[in-house]
Amino acid sequence: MGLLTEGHPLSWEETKKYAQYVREHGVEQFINTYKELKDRRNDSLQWGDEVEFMIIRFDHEKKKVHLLLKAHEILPILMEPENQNPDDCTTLWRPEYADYMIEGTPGKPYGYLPVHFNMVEANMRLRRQQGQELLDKDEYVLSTSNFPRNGCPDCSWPTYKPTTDTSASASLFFPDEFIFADHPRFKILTRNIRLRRNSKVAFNIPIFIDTNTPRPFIEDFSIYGDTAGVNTTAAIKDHIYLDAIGLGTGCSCLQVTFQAQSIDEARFLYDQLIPLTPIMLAMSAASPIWRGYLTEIDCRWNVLCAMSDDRTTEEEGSEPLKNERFRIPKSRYSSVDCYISPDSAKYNDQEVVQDMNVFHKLIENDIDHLLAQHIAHLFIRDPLILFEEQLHLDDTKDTDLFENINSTNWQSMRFKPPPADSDIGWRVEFRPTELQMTDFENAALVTFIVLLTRAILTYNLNLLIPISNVDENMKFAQQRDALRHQKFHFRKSLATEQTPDAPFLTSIQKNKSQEPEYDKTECEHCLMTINEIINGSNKFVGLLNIIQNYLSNIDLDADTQDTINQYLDLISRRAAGTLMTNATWMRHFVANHPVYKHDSVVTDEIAYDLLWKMTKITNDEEECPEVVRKKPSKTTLDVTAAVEQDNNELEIKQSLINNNQ
Amino acid sequence: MSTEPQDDNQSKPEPVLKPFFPKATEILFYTGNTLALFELVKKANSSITDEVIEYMSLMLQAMIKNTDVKKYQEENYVKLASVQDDNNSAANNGTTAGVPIDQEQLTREDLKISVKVFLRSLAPEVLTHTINTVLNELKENYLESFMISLPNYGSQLTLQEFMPLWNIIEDFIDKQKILSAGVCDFMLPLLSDLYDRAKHKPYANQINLGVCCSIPEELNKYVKENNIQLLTHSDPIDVINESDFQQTIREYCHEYDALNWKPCSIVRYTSVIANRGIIKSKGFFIYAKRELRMTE
Repeated sequence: MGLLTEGHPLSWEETKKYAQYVREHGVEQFINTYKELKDRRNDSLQWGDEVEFMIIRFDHEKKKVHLLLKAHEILPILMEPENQNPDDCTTLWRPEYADYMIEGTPGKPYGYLPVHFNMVEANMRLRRQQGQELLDKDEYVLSTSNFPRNGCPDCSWPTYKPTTDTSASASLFFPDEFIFADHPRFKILTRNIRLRRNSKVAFNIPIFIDTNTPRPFIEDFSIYGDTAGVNTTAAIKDHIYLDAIGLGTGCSCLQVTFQAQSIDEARFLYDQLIPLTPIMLAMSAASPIWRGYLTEIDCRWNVLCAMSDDRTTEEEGSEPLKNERFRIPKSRYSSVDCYISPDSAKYNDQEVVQDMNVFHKLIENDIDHLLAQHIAHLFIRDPLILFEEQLHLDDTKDTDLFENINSTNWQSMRFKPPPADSDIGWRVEFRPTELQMTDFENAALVTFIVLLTRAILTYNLNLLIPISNVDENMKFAQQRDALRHQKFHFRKSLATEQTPDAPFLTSIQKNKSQEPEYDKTECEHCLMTINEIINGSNKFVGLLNIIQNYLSNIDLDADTQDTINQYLDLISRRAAGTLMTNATWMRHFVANHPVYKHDSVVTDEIAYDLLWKMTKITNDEEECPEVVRKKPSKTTLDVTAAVEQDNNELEIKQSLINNNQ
Repeated sequence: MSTEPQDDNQSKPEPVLKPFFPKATEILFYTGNTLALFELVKKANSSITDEVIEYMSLMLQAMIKNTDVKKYQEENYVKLASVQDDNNSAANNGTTAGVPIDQEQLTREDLKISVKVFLRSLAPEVLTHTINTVLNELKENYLESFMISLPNYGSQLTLQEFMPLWNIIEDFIDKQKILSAGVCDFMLPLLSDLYDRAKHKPYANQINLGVCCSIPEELNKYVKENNIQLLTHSDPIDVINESDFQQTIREYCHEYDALNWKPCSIVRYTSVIANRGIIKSKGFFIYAKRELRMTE
């Protein structure tokens, strides 16, 4: 979760004082980066995934499952290879917000060889194994977006009681001890968000009304020690109340980052992936249970938006603007607000709140409107955490203050300029995907996204729809069983006018424009089901067909082909509804559990059984044919043959070119 | 697209009274970069046969519409090519999405050109002619990958029959016109026989996973031991036969234009920006010959 700077953190009061300073220097740093690196060309594609694993502990006797607060013990061991040999690791590890989370990435980015798609799952499995090796009996590494009983009493091991008057979060449910303590960042973030907004974060999730759910559903918080009755105002009937940053940031996601060839390609890919954010959210839905209750949502996204929301009441709009600079419609954790490529301007149909000083400064420095708008929008935010050491930097060389703001805007996509002093280029991060319970599924989702970007670039496609429609889609995507029941705005025709003109085609194209139905003002998008979007229909090509088309023109080795086929098959079936999302499967599991009383309550025992089942499925000890149907995939970490072949080809070519000169 | 009634009406404005190329004994269709046609060829899982027929149809229609009817009357060798290959290099190479064209800095080094030839004749001169045609029309000095596929012969082909063809390819490798070459649908022992005899070993063997659901263990072992890449394809045994080829011409031209043609080789080529996995261009060559009995 962002920069893990070392050093001396400032208090909130001091941090607040430096807000403008941080912004000014951050913008300066961006301008310098831009000027120096806007013409940078990176020759090859590089990409990688991030998985935020959870560690849990089972008490088989008492039929209870806990979040295991052990990350601080195992992370130093996991990170040891990197300390010894930073350039030669197969996996890399980082801490995350909670002491039950460990974040793993591949040691080296994947590249352009098709065979790399065959490595993703193997590397994810390796990460899981590396974590697992360091755990004791009954302790397991799990991958899922949300721990169903997070925030319930005694949901951790060791067990702690939240202390509302002294904790950083002041939460009724989430003790400070859950927060990873070996790096000050996370506690400070927690405290500062609360101090800035001058109240606890709060979110209410509609409860899933089952046959025996009490009507109205009103929670009794006294068991949580709510003596002051503080939360009767914040909680709403028929909703589940959440009040801790950690209940959001302690969720896990699956992220993919790409390095683009140039800043233009990065901006292009950033834009093209935006319409896919709600689609992937719906496809990966894995969080139907919150604080031990079945809810009406299947995804973590909006919870995270609310739990990381540092806006004051003035900024939110519930009070008139007096001390704050802007009215801000969204949390700093939210879906993106604008496209950033010059050609996308017409799709930015929503007002984007911007710091106009920043905007003008960027324009003066020859940065175009769309990019200036994006940065000016990010910079409406205050820094949430500041280290003394970051205050006196060289703006021509360092990027820490820019990153301070950029990395605390947690959006569905992130545009990442090259860091100072590195070989790394302009990058784009795809952030909405929920984490699935098996490595196979996670690899499938990642592979799908990467292949789609290759196809978009190959066929010059355009997926853009107005940003307001993307926001609507984000709302639709998170609803219970959205994949099967919702329709989403999606562009009808993905081919662009920029595809090269083939003259022997002009007769066809001309005829098309003479057709009576051809109407230039006709809406470019319409509502489609996930099935139509992914698998196509007689009116829409379908994203999978585009990918298949692309793959048929690439030399794939048999093993990679087999693996990719399996991944695409999963995507296809899930989109068609013949395989379930993790969320739907979890709901079914609860509904069919002998102990479930159809009152929306997921008890300790039900949660224990659910997570134990998931653990066995993850470790290939049991099958889950409703969600995943596969034979063992051919995924492997060993790609030396293919890499050698590629190197040989390059050598031959090089000598050929040299000889001809 | 070809199922829409409007297009059929427009492609046949009136019956064709005279043959377009009555003296032609060789015909070449060269599509140029077909990636521009993406929107049109969006049927799910269209096979290479569908694609080839589709492009032939488009080119014949364009010929009829745009060409002076006298142009090919005396020609023995008819070449139908998309106009763009002559002058529009942007269209040829395509612009990469998101990159302003003046910043497109692709060099030949960045590209990997892969060619697969579907040979329907074992006559060595057909292969030679095909490779030369590809090099000339693409205006390339070399091709990175060259795969040769023989329909129906795959299982019954003998090394005896195949070596003359492989020798031709080896010549091109010697001349550095082809950098690596491979075969398609070869099983053991044909693959190992070839490997033992060949001066330039095949770098890859392409097999059809749809047909051969799981790779025979022996084959898998052999390729790994000998550093041969096992690639996959989903192409049919025969890309286009005489009857379909003739029928396609028949639909747009005079019946004499369609007579007797035997497709000899079909080539599919792709040009990929290798280290970014982006396909820049893709096209086909379809080469056919026929014998004519001249009647006065």
